[in-house]
Amino acid sequence: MDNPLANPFAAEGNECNDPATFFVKVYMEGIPIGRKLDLLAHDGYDDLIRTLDHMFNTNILWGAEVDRVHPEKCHVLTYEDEEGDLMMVGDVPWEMFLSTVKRLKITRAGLF
Amino acid sequence: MLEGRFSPENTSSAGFSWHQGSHTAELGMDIGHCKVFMESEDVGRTLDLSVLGSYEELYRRIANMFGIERSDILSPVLYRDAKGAVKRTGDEPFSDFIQTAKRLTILTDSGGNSVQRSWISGMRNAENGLDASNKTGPLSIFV
Repeated sequence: MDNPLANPFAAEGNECNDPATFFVKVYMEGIPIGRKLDLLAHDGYDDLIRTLDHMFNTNILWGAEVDRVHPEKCHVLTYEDEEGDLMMVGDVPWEMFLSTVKRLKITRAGLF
Repeated sequence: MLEGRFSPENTSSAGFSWHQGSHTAELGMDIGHCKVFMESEDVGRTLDLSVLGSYEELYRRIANMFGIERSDILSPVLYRDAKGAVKRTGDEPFSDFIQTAKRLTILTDSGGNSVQRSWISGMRNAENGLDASNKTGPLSIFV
C-alpha cells in the first residue's frame, strides 16, 4: 500500500480506507440475550476488558489474574475458537486471538 | 505484557493474519502454542511451550495454571501432536515435544483436594444462559 496511514486490516477491494470491523457475539451467563462487539475497535486485551466491564457492568477476571485469587472479580472471560474449544482469554498474543476467536462468553467464577 | 511475546522474528506471517479463513492448517497456533485441557474443567488454557525448559517445568506451570498441586497431575500426560496422533509426554525429548504438541489433556489424582480447583464453576450451566437446565428453548443462546 502506498498510503502509510491506510488501515492494514482493511478488507481487500476496500478503496476508501473505511476501518475494517470484526464483530463477535458476546454472552454473559444468566442473560439469554447477547451483545455484539467489534474486536478491531480495540487495541488489545486491556481495551477489550474495559469495554466488556462497562457493557456488562461487572469486573472481569482474565489472563494472568486468573492464576491468582481475586474474589472481588466475579466473572471470567472465555472464548470459543475455530476448533470449537472453549478457551481462557488472554493466554495468546492479541493478534493470534483475533485469528481464532469466534465468540465470547462471560461466565461466573466460583471458588470452592 | 502478552504483546511482548509476539515479536516479528517469531511469527510465520501466514499464521497470524487476523482474517479468519486464510489461516494455515494449524489455525494460527504455530510457534509452540499448545492447548491444555483439564478433564474436569470446561475451559481450556493455552501455553507457549517454547518458554519452558523441561517436562517438569511444564507440569509445574500447568499446576499453577489450574490451581492444583504438581502431585495432583498424573504423568505422563496425554497429548495430541500436529498430525492428530495421541502420545505421552516423556516419549520424546522435550525439545521435540514442544515442536509437535498441540493439545494436552491433564488427568488428575482425584484424591487431591486443592481449595483452588474448579474456580470456574458454573461453566456447565453457562451453555444455555440460564442455570441448571440442559433444555434448549426459544431463548437458547448457544445455537
